[in-house]
Amino acid sequence: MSPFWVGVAVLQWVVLGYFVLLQSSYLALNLSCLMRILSGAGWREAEWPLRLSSHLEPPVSILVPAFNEAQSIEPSLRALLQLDYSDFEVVVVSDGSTDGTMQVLTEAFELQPLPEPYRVQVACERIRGVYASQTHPSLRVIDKDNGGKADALNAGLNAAHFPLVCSIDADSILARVSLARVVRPFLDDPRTVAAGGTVRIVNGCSVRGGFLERIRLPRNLLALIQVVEYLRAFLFGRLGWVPANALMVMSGAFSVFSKADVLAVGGWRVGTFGEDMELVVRLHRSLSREARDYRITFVPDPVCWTEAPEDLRSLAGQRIRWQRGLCESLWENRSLLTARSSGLGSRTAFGFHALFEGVGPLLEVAGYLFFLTGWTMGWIEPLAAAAFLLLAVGLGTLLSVSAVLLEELRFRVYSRPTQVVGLLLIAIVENFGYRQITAVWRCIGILRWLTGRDRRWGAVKRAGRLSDAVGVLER
Amino acid sequence: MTGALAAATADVAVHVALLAGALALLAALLLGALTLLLRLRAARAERRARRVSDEWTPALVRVAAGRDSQPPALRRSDVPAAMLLFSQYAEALTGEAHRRLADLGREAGFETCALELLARSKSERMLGIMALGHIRASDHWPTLAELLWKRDLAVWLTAARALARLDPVTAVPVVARRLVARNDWHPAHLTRVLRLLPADAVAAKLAQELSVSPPDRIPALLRLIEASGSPACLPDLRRLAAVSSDSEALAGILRVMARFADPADAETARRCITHPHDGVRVQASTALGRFALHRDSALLIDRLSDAAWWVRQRAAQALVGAGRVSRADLERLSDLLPDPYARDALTAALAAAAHDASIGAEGHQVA
Repeated sequence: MSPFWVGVAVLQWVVLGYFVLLQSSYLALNLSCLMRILSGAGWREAEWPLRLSSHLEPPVSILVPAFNEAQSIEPSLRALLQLDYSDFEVVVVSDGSTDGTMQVLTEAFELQPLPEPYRVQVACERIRGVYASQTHPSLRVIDKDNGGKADALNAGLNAAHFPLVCSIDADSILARVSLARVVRPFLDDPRTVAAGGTVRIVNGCSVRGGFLERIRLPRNLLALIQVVEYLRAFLFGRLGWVPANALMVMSGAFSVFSKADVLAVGGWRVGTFGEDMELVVRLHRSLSREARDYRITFVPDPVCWTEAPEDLRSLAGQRIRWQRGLCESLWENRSLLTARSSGLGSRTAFGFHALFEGVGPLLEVAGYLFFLTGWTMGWIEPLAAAAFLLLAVGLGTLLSVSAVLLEELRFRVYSRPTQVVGLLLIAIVENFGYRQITAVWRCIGILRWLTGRDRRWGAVKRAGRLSDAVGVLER
Repeated sequence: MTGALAAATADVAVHVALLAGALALLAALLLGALTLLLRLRAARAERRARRVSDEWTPALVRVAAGRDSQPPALRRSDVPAAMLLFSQYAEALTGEAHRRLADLGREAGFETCALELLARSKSERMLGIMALGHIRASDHWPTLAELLWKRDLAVWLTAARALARLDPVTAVPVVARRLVARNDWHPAHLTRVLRLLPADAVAAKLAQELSVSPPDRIPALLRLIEASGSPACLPDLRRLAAVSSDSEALAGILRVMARFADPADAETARRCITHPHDGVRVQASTALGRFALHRDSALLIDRLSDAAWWVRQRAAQALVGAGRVSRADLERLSDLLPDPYARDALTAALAAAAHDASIGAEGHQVA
């Protein structure tokens, strides 16, 4: 046999080995998540006495970065101001908006300039003014020069009054108890420095007064597939890492941090596409270097709902940005992998993200191309190509179905049996085309990160309610 | 030879892939079927819970109001759902209404069910503990007291509250001893336990602990004292403040003193207003503001030029909030202050106070 055929055979093994390793890692995460969910399952309703209504809940500053959100900012803020929580303030940061966001805010909330001392603890672009609402005492607005989402969050961080800060997207839709839920880890374990919440897809649901009224599945196929994708990402992709204190990704759409710790690491990093992930990885790196006993945790209950893109172009843009953000975060904090102070959990999680989330799409697309080319050119037996396809589809379906099962075990957000059947069908359908095309987009993201092209706040075409949210979605 | 080996391995790879893929698909099918079964079972449980709620809600309201005393008929499978509903109502009630509900709970046989739940999942265990507290099942005091040694905070909290419901006076030393032994409390948790206990008895017990605790336990104890809501510890705190050199302890003592705002503590705050540690100066400034004594205005004005940002802010807020110096005088003072940092702090505090006054809000206590 010529070296060429030996190479083809070896490559076959490499590709197969990679896929098996990748999916086995996800299955292991799945098991970790299942254990955690089962340990907290049972009669969930019985936990209601832990709902805290005392005035001693830790006060929270909610930071809302807004860039050209004139269309949606008012209802979003009205909903935020009605959160079921005893003590919080909302700090909206208009990041040099040019669409009249400030005017909308001024009229809707009767803003007046407030000569508040603005203490610059982390650098940010020039502050034009600080305003307070005459109608809502807990609302302040900061108008500043444009500097990006991370810069806006830093400006809000400087102005925050309270020891916990919650970063939220201006378009996030919450439940009234969302904040109380995501703050609970801080009450239950004083070592907690950050807690993220589960984000779900709002497409298809009815929203009234900024709150979710009725949960339904979207009619649009792309959005429907993303429902299952989010289940996978947020259930075992995040919850699975919590027992090892190795959660690397928290959605910028709704996460709570200890203000002192965020300030200590210098706030959100400006100029990255994934400032939410980057901050979490940096917190891990910094706190493990200090040998601090800390917890970065995750609340699996659905606390935030966001609109998913319904057209390929917007979805492609979103995924390209997310992949860039992921690569930037991993690269900037690569010392987490090698530093002696890093714990085993953090190193494993970092290695996992680097291998399977960072480089993974390249290997995945190379694998597809290899099998496709090999099959067309007759290098690979049709049976071998079919076996590869069966394995990829089988393991992919298994992962998605188990995510739906986890959802059913714990949350039962989608209450009708037909909705569950729909999700199970999607778990199969998404393997034919969707996964492959997202892998291609992620490869483009990697290439753009390498070449440093196109650094802007992205804009996704939405169905009307919401604008973009930068984040990272794992498989 | 190499070629043959490569061909053989490739062949094995194909078979491995086929087998693994088929197994994965089979597992996915099984999990999918399980998911559907769970959905159907959950739908049945939801229907049952709705039925129990329809039957029991009016009954609980009638019993709490004293218009009835008999529980509705209950199937064994409905007991946990009814007990959950009962506990939700009982948690919201006090006095005679709570006692009537407790009688109903005993009559409905919740005691046996609650004991069974203690051996199940965490949530069910918590429901069992809660129900035992509400029906005042005193016979099970040892079982509940044993749960105070559990590491799980939620179970501990529920057990402590149940003991406090069974016998608040007897519960004080038992609960307080364990409270002191742990340091993973948040004030919100503490309040939920302590408000069921006699505040002065708790404070007295904590004062005892204060005198025998090592210095590193003092800050945690001070948080407990603050949460107890009783000023009975203040004399002990004054004694401790006079001898303590630990800045964290001093800051904690001043925070508690500010909370109860007893003018007898003003001397301690005055002594600490120039303490080398800025955390102590912050709390001393806040405390002086709360005592609102005119003679302390000069001390607070001095702090407007403090090197620490927080001390300047707190001193300014204390001056404005105390109300001992008129707004007009403070505005004049602001114009006259030579230190721009002091001027900024006072101007901001005045503006914030004016803003709060204009919208009728209470000023925020910043962190």
